[in-house]
Amino acid sequence: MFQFINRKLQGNGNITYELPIDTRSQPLNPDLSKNKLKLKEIFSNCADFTIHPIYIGDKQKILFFYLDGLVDNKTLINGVLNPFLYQGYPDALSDIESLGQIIERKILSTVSIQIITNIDEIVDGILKGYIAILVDGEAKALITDMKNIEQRGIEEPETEVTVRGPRDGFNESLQTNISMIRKRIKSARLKFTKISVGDISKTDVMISYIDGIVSNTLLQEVKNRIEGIKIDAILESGYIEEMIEDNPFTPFPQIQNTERPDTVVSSLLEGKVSILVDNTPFALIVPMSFWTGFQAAEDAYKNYIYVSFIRIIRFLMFSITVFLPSFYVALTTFHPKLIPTSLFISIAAARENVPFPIIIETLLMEVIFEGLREAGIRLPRAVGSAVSIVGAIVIGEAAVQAGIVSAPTVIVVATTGIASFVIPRYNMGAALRIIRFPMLIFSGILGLYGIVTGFIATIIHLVNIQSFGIPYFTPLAPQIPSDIKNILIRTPKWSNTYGPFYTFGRNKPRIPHGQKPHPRKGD
Amino acid sequence: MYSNLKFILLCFSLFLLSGCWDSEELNERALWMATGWDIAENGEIIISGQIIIPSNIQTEGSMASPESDFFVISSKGKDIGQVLENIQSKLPRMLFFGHRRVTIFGEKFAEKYIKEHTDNISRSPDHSLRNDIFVVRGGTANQILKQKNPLETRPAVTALKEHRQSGGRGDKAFLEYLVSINRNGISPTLPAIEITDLNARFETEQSKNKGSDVLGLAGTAIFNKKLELIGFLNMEENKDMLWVMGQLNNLEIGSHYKKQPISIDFNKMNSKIKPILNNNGEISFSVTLIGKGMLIENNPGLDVTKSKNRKIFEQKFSEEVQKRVENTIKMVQDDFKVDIFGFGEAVHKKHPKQWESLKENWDTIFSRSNINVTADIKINQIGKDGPSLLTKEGVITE
Repeated sequence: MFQFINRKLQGNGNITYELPIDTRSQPLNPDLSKNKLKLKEIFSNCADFTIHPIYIGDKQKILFFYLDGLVDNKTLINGVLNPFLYQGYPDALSDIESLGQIIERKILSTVSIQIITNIDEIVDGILKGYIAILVDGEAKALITDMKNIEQRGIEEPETEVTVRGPRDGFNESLQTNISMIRKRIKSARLKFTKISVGDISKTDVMISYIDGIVSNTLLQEVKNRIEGIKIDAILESGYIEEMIEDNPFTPFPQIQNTERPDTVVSSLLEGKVSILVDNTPFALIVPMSFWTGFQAAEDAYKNYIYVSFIRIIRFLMFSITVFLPSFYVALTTFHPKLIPTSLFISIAAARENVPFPIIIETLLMEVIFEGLREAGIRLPRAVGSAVSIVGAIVIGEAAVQAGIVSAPTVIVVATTGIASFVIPRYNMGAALRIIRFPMLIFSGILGLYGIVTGFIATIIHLVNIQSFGIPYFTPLAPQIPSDIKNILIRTPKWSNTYGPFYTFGRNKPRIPHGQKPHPRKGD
Repeated sequence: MYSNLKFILLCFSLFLLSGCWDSEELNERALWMATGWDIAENGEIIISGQIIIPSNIQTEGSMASPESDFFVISSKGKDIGQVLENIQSKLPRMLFFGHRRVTIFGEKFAEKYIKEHTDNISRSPDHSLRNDIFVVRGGTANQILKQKNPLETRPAVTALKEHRQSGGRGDKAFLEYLVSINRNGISPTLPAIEITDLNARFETEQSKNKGSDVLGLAGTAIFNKKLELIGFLNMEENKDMLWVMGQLNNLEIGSHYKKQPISIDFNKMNSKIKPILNNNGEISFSVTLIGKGMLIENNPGLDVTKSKNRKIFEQKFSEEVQKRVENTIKMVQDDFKVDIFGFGEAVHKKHPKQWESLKENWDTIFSRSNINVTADIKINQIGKDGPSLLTKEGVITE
């Protein structure tokens, strides 16, 4: 009986991505009906596969093959069917002898017309949204781009909202995304190399870089890693990210993702490499450093003094995210002497009737907070307000008044939660939110000693990570003095002569010296 | 792989160094805010502790409970171990001394028993050196710990804050006290505290109002080298002493010009002690007191925007300060015969070689030496107007 279940659970048992007919470099047959049969077999049970015949006399002389929904009906009618059926009827159809003539006589008003001779090319073309035209008696086919896939418009990126800066964000179409980058760099040195990944999905992946800035070793490494991916399908850039990152056992993101074309372009200008994946609005940027996680897209657009201030706030909030709950637990349970007396008395008074130990109470609240946050993301907008009401009133107010949790703990957890959202890169914020839990447990067991141990362990881990051969903690470790100034604060653009040391190098200045604005007096 | 295992094992050994057993929940601790030391008639010590009642403390906008938010607990015993054992047996929570900021010695206790019993204050790691310490003038420490103040709910805080506000040593008192015990050139002193009346008493009032008792600073308690209390300085003398020591940072004094009062409020104060050794080996001191402050009273109505007039006042204040401080020093030299000012330390620093021969009977030498006080007073703020607004005839000039 168990064998039977096992067999049921095992499923098909012989998964294959091969087509029923070996199409590889199989030439077309001059006989149209044979070609038609072959294609029909390949596309068997594909309801969207359409064959459109044109009769000359009683015989099917010309066949159109395409996938319904991928091709643009308007273009099909105006560019292909009309010329064939009406405009050129007496002239064209009667004496067409070869496909070449169709092109020669400029019957079709479409783009990228090719003549091919293999079945597999036809199949690939049809799957991409091309239309294939086969004529009886010829072992050749004509394919032409007729693709029109419905896509979302260009919208403001939701994950990286800015006050100042361009509002266009990537969408799911690779062509649109490329055009958005191309629009910003009007140079042929901006390159896109295409690699197709995924045995069955055959997803287009574009490696984008600026020739002349990017280092060849980095570029080669990226290409090698992506070409090495063996996977059935790529649905999102996250698939690529997980398959090519250096250290798979870390919560810290080693590859930056962005929805913003301006962020991609600014990274390309620094000598980084961007990976665009079809069907996802998130582009990947490699290599990433730890500090990138603290830089928002609009940092470069706003006043540098203000941005410097905000960056300091971000690092402050970063330390609060990681350390505040654990410090709270360690100080109150292990080292109460370190708390100022009056604060200590207030905390003691607030905690008087709380039944749980502080570490349990804090962990509980942190977990509930994470749950609330997660619920807020998943819930439909209509019920979203219910979560905030329940979160704020039930947990914030009622739990404190009932004496189940103490007000200081709620304050600590709420502050931590808010602080974690200050970190501009969502995935970096997520990593920091994760590591505060081990920190909390460490501090609950070992006190301040545990916090220090946890902190040292985290730092050791961080300096060990590399992103595409470039140290994660650079420019702090290893130290690049000229880059350090742009970590904690942002220096004005006229003072940043070079880009980051590891990706940009020091050969050619990016912004030459002596451009500090100094208007002449008396003019 | 093997080295990884070793590393993980090493990490686990961390848990042996410290661990959950060191943690104590807040509501398992009894917060001990202040300690009082007294002596019982049979020679046993009595230790009183002021302990917070957290549930009576006002939180979350609720009204403060009418009950007091502290209580005083005390026990007798031959030694501190016994006393603490007795106290702990009366408390459901673990005593926690980490936030004790005030220690109070009863007068009887201070007269004789400090040296015998109080090693614990500086030994126990629970006790902070940042601690204010008082001697009760005319009473027991237990009484002081029970005395409330209308502004502060806890007497410990009251004493500490009063001490800080008056420009004294604040919670450095204990540290200074320990330092002075271990030096030859200065005798230990401690601030004194007493229970006093909140309001001045009018002659018509027969008896004082009930419930108007408060804690008040009462000057300085003077100790000899055996740590026995030998007397008190009053508040004024206490401030003179602190000024000479350079520890005072706030003082208001008055003088008069043409029989009309003038007053100054110092905000920058300092002192310089200069020991002078003559050829016969006799020692004398010149003390310079520096004070800068704001004129707060100008009844004579002189126009103090004129520097000439300010000079007159400064001169008057200097004379006053000089007279006052000289009197205080003379009184200490004659009555107590111990160097509470630290003149010996000044000699120690300036003439370390000669000090070796002087230090043995320094207090005798001190009480016989000649001390010359000069004051350098500056008015650096004059208030709202130059002449007095009360002076109808306008500006009076000399």
